[in-house]
Amino acid sequence: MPLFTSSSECTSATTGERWLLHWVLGIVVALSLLAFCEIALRTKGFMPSAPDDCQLWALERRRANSGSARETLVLVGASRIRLGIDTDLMRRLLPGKRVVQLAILGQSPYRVLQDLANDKDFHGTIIYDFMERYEHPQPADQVQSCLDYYHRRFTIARYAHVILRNIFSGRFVVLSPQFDPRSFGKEFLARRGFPKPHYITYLADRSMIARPELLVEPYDLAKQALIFESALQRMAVETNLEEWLGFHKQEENWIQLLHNRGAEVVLLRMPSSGRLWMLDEAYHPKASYWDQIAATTLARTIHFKSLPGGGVWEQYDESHLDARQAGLFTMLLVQELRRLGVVDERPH
Amino acid sequence: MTFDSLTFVIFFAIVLAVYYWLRSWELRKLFLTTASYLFYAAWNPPFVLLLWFSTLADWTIAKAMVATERPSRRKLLIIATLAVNLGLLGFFKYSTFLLQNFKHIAAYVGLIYQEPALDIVLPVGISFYTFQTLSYTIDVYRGELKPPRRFTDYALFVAFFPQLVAGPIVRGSQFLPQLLFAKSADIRKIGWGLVLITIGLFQKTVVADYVFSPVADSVFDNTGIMWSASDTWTGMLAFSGQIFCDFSGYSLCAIGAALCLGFHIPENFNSPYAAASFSDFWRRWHISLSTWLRDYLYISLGGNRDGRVKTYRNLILTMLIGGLWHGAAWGFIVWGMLHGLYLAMERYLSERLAGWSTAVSTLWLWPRLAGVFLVVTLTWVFFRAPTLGRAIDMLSSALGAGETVTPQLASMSNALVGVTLGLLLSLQWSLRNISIKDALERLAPAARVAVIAAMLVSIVLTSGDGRAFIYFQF
Repeated sequence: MPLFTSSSECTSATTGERWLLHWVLGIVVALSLLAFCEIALRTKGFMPSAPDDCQLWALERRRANSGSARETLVLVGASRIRLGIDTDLMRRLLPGKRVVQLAILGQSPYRVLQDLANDKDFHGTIIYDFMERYEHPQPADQVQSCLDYYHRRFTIARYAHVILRNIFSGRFVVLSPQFDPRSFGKEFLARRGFPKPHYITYLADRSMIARPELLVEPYDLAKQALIFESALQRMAVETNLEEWLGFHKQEENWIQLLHNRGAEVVLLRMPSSGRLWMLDEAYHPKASYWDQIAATTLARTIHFKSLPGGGVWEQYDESHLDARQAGLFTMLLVQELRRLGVVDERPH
Repeated sequence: MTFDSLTFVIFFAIVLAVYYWLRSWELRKLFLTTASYLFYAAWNPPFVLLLWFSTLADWTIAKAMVATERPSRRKLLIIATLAVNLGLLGFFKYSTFLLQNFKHIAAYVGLIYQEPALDIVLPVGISFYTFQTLSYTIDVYRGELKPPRRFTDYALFVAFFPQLVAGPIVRGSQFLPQLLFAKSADIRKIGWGLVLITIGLFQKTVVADYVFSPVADSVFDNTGIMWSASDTWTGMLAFSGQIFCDFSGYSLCAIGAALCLGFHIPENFNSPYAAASFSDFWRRWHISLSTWLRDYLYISLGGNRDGRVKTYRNLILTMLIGGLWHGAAWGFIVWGMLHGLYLAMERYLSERLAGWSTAVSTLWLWPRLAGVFLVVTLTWVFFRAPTLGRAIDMLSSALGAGETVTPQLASMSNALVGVTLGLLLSLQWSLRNISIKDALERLAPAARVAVIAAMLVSIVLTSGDGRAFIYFQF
């Protein structure tokens, strides 16, 4: 019975020699096809997008520990800080700073703060995306998965793999997870035409860019407000102000730990607008919640309302900043960080 | 470091370049050994010490075995090697399982026992290299193999990186003679080796991870969802495809990588879903393990030498231990035991119906192929399901015993799994009696290039998830 691969012997010298040639030609044809796909997709408006997974998170988490204390600026939070801060611009505005994006979409970030607080090797500055409705215990599976991955499974080989992957991903559309043949095919069948590029782009440093002009349909703000309100109602039943403050007390202990070893925390309230801001105010009024925290915390605090001219934002979904707004917000934030002395006052 | 990672691509390119650049054969072997330890250390550096310990222990024991003529001393040494190797495997792989079961037994007889939280990390590949080193010392004990002169040759045999972490399980008699003579760069071997790696990566990243795995994982792991009978069947069939493509893909990469370095390592799969009987299945599935179990366990237990009943017992026991080799869970034990039962029943029937089965064998070939595949697929449920209870629930649901519910899986997922599995089975059935190499050589050169290019493009477009090879956990 001949075996599957018959690797033990090459049947004939000539065919055997040709396999290498065929393999090389296969590579050439494959690269040509991929290049053709890449060009076609770019002409249709697609942009390269990096994978958003725990491997990349772990790589950034490791970066958070390298370098001296004053060099590292770590962004912790959820989608708002990932879309709302232009990390590239921030690096240019703060030369010498290592900006690390550790925010994870849609989940309360308090476990990341806890992890950094318990890590004796971390001495940097944390910009903490403080959101009143995240200030209560809630499932954060993705945060936990990434923490587990970083602490238990991020081996040297995986570290090297992500570094190598970063060289390619985020540079080519065909390597982007958003260009997934299955979902591309599904969308193609559903739309009976060439799919449109997604309005969110993930960058290799884990920051994100929103281009709402690419939205296929306008954002359903009324529906979003309904979902948002029901979540806030549920939270109001589960957590009163006292319990809410109690939960924050735990975070305050971690902030204390960080301060004790020279690290710093800045609580940052990212912008919301329209109905969402009204709901935020209805359920967590700034005067009773944010102001109370700001008066007692060891951390520095920055509320978007207090930024010069930054109180009003026209947000496409009333919750996130688009690419253009992110640039403006980043500049205002850096100014404020300088004013507070969190980053060095340098002429720019 | 896995074959489907960019790290491996760089690592392998450097290894190939340096290996063929070095002139001295001894230096080359030393370099391969060092590279293999680096490959292993990339996963968890401290466990290289364990690999060294295992290598050194079996080398010393085998040397001592050769040095003595006294049967009692040789027996003592073989017991020592079994104790060392199985002791290590037992500690890392089965401690928690044994303690948990002891707790249940204690509770059953009214005793309260709280097992300690051991939190033992399983060293990757330990099951594979333990069986490899065990086969070496047993072969030396039986007088079938002479230990190599150099310790470094033996160390390379144990640590050779293409097959170190997930096989194929190589015997000393297959590998050690290849270290005697220098290997020159052979573009025929390198070319075919690279094609094998490409086919292996295609099987792993495209077919196993991209097509089958999402469906199989959904159905097996989402216990909170009421899956319909059709969903359950899709999930089970998807796992059948996934496990083959995952493991066979790994084996092909290992064989291909070894071939690029000029080494031949044994085949591990030969169209197993084209098996016409269970014994045929085990001649085609994970061949290096099934032959290992046959040669070192089944035969040691007495094989078919002590009558019919003991033969059946030996078959069941061998397969049960084979199941347990895969992992410390009751699911693996049941899976192995069922395969043992199938083999025993098949043997019984073939003895009883010898003339009849020969007469109708051709006529019944297709129903038999389908039947064996179906039973193997149903049996995989015990292998994959997170618990025995989940396995039984799934089998009940597949057989229509549960509530009637609306299918949850998207029709596209069903279609993709169905079409891919159909193609996979057709390919295996058509390759039942010819090798893939012969099949590819029948194609026109342009078609061959097109097949290779299509596989490479698919690998690039679907290689997002980076799932670990299933057999890494064993």
